[in-house]
Amino acid sequence: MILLLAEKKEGKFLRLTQELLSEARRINDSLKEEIAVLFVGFQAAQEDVVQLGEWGADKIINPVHPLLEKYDSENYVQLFHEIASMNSISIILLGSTVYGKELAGMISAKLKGGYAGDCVRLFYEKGKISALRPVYSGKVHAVVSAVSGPFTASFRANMCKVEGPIPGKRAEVVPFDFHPINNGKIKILEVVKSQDQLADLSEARIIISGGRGLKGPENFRLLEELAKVTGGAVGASRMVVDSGWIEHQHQVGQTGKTVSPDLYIACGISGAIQHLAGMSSAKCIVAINNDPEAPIFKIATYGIVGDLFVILPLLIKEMRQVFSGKAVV
Amino acid sequence: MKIAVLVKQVPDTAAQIQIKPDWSGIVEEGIKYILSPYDEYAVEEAVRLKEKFEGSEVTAVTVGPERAKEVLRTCLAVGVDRAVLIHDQENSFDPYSTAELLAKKLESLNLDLVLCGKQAADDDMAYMGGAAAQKLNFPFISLVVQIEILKETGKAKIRRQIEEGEEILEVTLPCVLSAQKGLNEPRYPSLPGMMKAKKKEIEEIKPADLIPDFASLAKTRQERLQPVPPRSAGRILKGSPEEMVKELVKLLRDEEKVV
Ligand SMILES: Cc1cc2nc3c(=O)[nH]c(=O)nc-3n(C[C@H](O)[C@H](O)[C@H](O)COP(=O)(O)OP(=O)(O)OC[C@H]3O[C@@H](n4cnc5c(N)ncnc54)[C@H](O)[C@@H]3O)c2cc1C
Repeated sequence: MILLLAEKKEGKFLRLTQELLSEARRINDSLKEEIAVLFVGFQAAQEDVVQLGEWGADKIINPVHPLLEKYDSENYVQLFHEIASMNSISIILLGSTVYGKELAGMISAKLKGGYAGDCVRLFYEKGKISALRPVYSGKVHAVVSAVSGPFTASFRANMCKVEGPIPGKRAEVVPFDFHPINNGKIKILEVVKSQDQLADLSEARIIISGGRGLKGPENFRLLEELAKVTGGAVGASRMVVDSGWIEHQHQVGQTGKTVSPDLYIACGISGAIQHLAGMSSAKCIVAINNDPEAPIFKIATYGIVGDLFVILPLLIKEMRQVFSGKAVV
Repeated sequence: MKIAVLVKQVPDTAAQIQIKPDWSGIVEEGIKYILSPYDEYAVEEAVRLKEKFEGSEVTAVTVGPERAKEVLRTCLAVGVDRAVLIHDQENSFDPYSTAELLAKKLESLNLDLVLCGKQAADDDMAYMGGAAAQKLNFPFISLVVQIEILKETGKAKIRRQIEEGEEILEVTLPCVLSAQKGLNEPRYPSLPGMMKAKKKEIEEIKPADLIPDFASLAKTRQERLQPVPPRSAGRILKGSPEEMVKELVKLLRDEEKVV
């Protein structure tokens, strides 16, 4: 069995869930096993069942329990443990979200299996389940293969190709009788939602990022405006985070987030190696910088040598035209 | 409090990384090694807790080759009391074996708290904290930006980052916490601190002394390292600002299809 965890946000599946299913389908061409999606907490609705089925699930394991309605690492690990004790699992896939990453290491240790974090590809090579993952801040790729036990992998968002739906394919929903451990070692007291709507870089398809070239915190409003117009999020270099211009949530790079949006626009960012570590897997990189020698131009798909204070207002205007006809999702 | 910090020595984040001709690893010559940046926050927090709670003791533990002693000295220089090196001469143990070894050692320390960085800057695995926690049967919380120990109840109040903002949690001690940037501002080692650290003894352990059949533990194998297809430098647009912006938007829409 290939088992993957479905994650939802605001009632909708993360795109990552579809990406994981696509990755599972591809490796399953060689493995020929059953693809099961773990849908936790609530009863799966008909539209969930249809969606997961068409994305490639053969089976939906659907444990419903009050203690599973919210993320609870101890019970979630226990759940994987129970499922693994009743099924022969070869691969477990999770998204590289905060919860997904936290769980993945714990699950693999609990199940005495292998682990590969933040993978970008899964494949079958010389009879072994293998994963490709960036290491050394993305300067190199490592190929890791499973030796024994279930192989757990967490996957980076927006890195793998999404396979088209299989029309009419239905998944079988199997209820699961879960026995919670309920030892209450971890209690969530409060969730403090960030007021900052532009800080969630995790699945953003467009990221507008700013560095010291912005000259001061007040000028982030240029980036915010462009982000709002394009439905994107705002990123930042460490230099400006450390200077207190913007919260750490926005930081991209070695000691910030690793992102791979479709479009990354770097404004007034020099392109230090630690910054590149966080964004060099973006599909398209645009650099706006007034120094033609800035290293960011070495990896940018398109470069504009110029003053960001001149370029950005023009770009906002042009983008507004492009997006005015489009509903921003 | 008895606290352990899991640390790792990694190449300097600015280092040029070269793959060996047989793709088995990286060329080590010329690389400067440092304490992994997130581990610095974990070490700093451990030392701050020690300063706050009298009679505390902090032990730094690493699995690595001989050179990893340097980062243990760095830990000792900023106030860590004891340092343990579990030998991995070739730097080749898989994550699972490493977690088993660490957990075995930690078990013997009778701990209240285990701290580590949210991930190591070389393999970016984000594995060790959660895995060690499972082996020890401790709860685990990642991406921690604030720790408040509630001595009376044997619990801790934790603030940690999530995608939408932050979570505030209560966790029963002993537990494992992984440090996110923002937890604190790590101090620099002082000269007297460094002098003292030089004289301190580092406990050295052979893996087989912790787990006799540890060689059979591996669950994964690193098959190879391979170069990342280089990102070719793209196009520098030409013209007036208006022309460049117009062209850019056209390219993003029609060629790249990203807007
Ligand atoms: C252990 C470690 C971890 C690190 N982690 C990170 C990390 O996670 N993320 C990160 O970003 N950095 C990280 N760094 C820091 C990194 O090395 C750089 O210092 C940082 O990325 C530089 O930020 P910057 O590009 O904003 O600033 P600078 O390097 O100062 O670049 C500013 C750029 O703005 C341009 N500019 C100035 N004025 C204008 C204008 N009017 N119009 C257009 N362009 C203009 C300049 O030409 C320059 O290229 C880390 C460093 C270390 C040692």
